Amino acid sequence: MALTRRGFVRTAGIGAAGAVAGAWIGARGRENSLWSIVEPSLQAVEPGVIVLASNENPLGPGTKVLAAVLAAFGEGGRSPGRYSGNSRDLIAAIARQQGVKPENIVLGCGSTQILRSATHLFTARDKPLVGTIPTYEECAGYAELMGHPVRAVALDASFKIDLDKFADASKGAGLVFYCNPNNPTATYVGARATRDFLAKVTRESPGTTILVDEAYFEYVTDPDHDTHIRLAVENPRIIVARTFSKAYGMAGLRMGYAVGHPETIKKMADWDGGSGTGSLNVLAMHAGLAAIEQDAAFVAAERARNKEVRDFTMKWFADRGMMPADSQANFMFVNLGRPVRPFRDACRARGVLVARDFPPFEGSHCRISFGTMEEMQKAVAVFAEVLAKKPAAAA
Amino acid sequence: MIDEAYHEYVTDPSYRSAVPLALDTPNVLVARTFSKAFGMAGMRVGYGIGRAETMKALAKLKMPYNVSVFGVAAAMAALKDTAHMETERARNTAVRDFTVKALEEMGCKSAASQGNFIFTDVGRPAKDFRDACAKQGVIVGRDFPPFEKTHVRISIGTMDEMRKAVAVFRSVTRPGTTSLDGRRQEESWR
Repeated sequence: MALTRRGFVRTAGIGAAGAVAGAWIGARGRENSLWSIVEPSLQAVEPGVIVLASNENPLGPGTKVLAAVLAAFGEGGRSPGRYSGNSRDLIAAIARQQGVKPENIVLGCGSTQILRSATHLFTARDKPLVGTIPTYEECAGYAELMGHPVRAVALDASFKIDLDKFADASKGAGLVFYCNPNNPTATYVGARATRDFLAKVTRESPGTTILVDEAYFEYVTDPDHDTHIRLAVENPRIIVARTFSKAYGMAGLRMGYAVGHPETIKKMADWDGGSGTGSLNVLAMHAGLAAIEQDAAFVAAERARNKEVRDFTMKWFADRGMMPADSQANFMFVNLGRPVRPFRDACRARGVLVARDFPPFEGSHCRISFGTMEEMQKAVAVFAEVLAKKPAAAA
Repeated sequence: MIDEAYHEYVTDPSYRSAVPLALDTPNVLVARTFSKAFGMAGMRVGYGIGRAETMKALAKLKMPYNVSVFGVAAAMAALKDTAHMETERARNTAVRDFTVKALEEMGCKSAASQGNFIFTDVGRPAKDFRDACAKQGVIVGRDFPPFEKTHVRISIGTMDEMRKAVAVFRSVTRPGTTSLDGRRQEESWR
């Protein structure tokens, strides 16, 4: 089968169930494309636009996952018709992959559900959520929605987590959201420093739970890199969140999970409705299983591919005096020295979509996801054109 | 909140959806699902209908990105295929009528069903009935307290499935018989 560079499989016939676009599973820019049909406030992206706005594997999930999804439709496409809370196979596969037990894992509708459950369970009116600013906003947004206080800790001058300040602010917190690599800055704290931080917070603030979001774990190339899953399974106050939406290229399918101590996992699963699977679609369960059971070379290849594109793109900006924060992920946070919005609009008009504003840095820093090398070569030509024009003075 | 999960299966001519009411009334909303008549339970798509301000309040709490791209695409295609829904409703009505009648002949009276399932008085604990059916390869609904001592919820399958299921129900409602005995008895009645 001829695989295109971009979409790897455009469409595949699956009889009664109709045609499925492989690119859908990756659902690149899903926040901006298919969703516009049901949520018009989101901008639609027409075909051909280079989407560098949502930190997803630009190649999608790979042919083995696509094959598993097609097979999951079953005879006459009937399988998706039946609800299944049977997530045992996927949980068992994740447990094997991570070297933990099934009772250490709860699945979620993307890691979003994991982040929400943890926020719901561990924050309260007198137990704040603590996070860096900026970071991925799901936990803070949900805490605010529930009327629970949020404590924001500024990053240091290099956009890395200021561990001492963060640990101090964590005292008395309900939940600490520790996103590493951090979104939107892509900066990374090494495994040793993170372990020290976790030990310090659990020692100094024993009532505090720490959620370590490892959404971009697979993209890290720093040698001081390790998962904190082993600490989480031992300590009821540490949870690790993972997702299939980023390096595994399955954002459109919605599958993520938490790893932790059985007591903590049970709390989260109970809150999510017993099995914890009411929100999970059956296609995602099959896809997740295939993603894990495929050759580990898939993730290694994706990490290497991304690093090459990351090095190219970061150098392009650095060579022109625009310094990106040190990225260990599949995106970067770069200082354009001008407001992001006019830059984004001008790029968008030329077929390149970069990310939304990330206050309080909307006056200078843009988050740009890494596409394929071919896409980034086209994108930097667009950036050059847009940046050649002087920004509006009133910025 | 008016749950119209089984809206598409209703055949009573006096039935009216509450959607117009919900669109007029801020404290009324209607819930619908693609999990039942649309046959998409594995895809996890449902929705609420009501006044914009009511929906806005709900949307605030909605988890972001909680529907898969397949779910959205399938739901959109499903809504367009109105002919299929007519066929599905007619199919269900025929199988429902068949099943209700067969159970009645066994002495099991069902509440008048407008859905794709029936709540029927088997005159014994649901668990006993359920376990006996399961042994013969037919799965019926869980307990529904406070009626777990008498009533069973039976979803309507295909006509082919319900013909087989009815034979199992018959064997189960006659104590001391097995499916094979049930068949023998059935033959002996003819």
